[in-house]
Amino acid sequence: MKHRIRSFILVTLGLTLLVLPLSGQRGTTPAGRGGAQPTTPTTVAPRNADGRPDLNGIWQALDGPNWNIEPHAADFGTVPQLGAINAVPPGTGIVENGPIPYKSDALAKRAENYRNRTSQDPEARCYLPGVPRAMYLPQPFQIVQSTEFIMMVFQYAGAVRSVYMSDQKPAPATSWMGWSNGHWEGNTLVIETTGLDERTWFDRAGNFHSGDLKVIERISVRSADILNYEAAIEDPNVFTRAWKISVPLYRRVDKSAQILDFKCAQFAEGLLYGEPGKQSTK
Amino acid sequence: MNSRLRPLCVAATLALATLGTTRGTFAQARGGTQTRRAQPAQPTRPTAPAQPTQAVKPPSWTQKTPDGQSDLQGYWTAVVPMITSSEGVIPPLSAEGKKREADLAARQSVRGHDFDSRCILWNSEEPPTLSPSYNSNLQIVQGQGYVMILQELMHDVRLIPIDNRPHLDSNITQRFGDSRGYWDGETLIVETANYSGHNPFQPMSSEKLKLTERFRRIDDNTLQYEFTIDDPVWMQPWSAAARWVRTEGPLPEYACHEETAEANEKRI
Repeated sequence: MKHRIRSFILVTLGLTLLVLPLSGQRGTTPAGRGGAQPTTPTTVAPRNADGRPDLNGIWQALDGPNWNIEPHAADFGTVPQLGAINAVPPGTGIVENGPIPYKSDALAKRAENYRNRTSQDPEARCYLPGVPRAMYLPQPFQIVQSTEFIMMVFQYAGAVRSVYMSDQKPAPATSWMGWSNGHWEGNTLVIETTGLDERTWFDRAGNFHSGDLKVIERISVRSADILNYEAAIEDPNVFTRAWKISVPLYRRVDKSAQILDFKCAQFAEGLLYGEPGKQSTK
Repeated sequence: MNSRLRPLCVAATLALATLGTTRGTFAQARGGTQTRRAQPAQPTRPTAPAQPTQAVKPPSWTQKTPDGQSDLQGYWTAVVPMITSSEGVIPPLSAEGKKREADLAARQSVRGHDFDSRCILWNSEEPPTLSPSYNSNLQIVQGQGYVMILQELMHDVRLIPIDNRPHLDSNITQRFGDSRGYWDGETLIVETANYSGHNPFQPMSSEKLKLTERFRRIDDNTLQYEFTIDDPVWMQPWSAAARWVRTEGPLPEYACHEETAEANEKRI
């Protein structure tokens, strides 16, 4: 009897060991994709009923990388009438091993963007923000996670990203928010986005890319209320090599947190069409 | 394998498997009375392994989502709703409604007050969901505690919490209102308030509009959608219903504001 119990335990252990690595692999796609790199080990990984890390929630980046993803000191803003409200707050940046490796001609383009940022920044114009900028805008976004889709709904401009977890295909067309194929590598959500419109920027400082941009994001749970967010940026037209940004995303834990209506087209009409002040339409 | 080819191969495999079974290999094996020689040659490819003992699986739409919601997910085409109130028509406007209608007509004559040409919202947009003249497609995705409805035109999204929490503070009004949902059996009930009074619905509906919607999956391809309008601009509350039809994804990105602005810039 004792022997039988012992062999039962051994068999169970063996099966568990066999099954564990398998379940970790479930849903992964062929190796070599996205230059997989080990991410910081996660301490807590809340799981949804599906057995996947639970990314549902309202998230937001802090510390203003949207002003400039590179390290920057405080500076004057572009609208003197607004005084200190419009001043640029300092930030340590989110680019790893910077600076951003621009090709020399691309640096000139960035300088031009910077000079014209008041009117040309897609954010000022209320354009869809593209990827990765949508992820660290100074407004919250919500993740709605099902087995087949991971939807990201942004307060800014009512932008939305569909991450296709099963219906994966190459980008069928160019779009402002791109085409995102996602898969799980263990506890990390890996998203490969292509088909991105060349007219989006990385920040308010004029950092830019071409239509050949490819973004490979890795999202993992750092703790119950923090996600690790990394994005590898590849664009041989503009950069001499691939580079990476890394920024934590914090859960909006305030009880009343909710994605609200920020349909900003109306706020950009003055800038775009010289017809400011349509206050009557609210 | 090229990812574009993979679905094709899966489809081909499925088609082959179906072919194998519809030719009646199982039925013949069981019945055994037919003259086998008379049957057409079986495909050389081995047929799918026999699974006679497998119970008939319930259709996937009847399964609950991981957090226990009935499954409304998929791509849907909204169709024009029919009035279901007793008279079969929208009730007459109240005095308040007539005044709003007149004010609105005056405003419409001023250039720049039409929301759709400004790419702010589509004039037959949700909620309630009517059916615009084209591309009235929606996608529903359900995550923990939420139902998300993405509308193709203007890529507008409704994020509906299903814990029936209280509405937003009355200081916050929105064109699409503020939606709160809960499940009553298989039916999702969504109540919407906090309208701004500039919502596109009808379009004289007011900030006092209270909307109740009911979403229920009828079968794999049909979603029953009903709504009730309670707004003092009408003499009494009224209701309508539609059956949404399953459609194919993905929904393309409708960048109305961006492309309008860019085109305008090029013209100058």
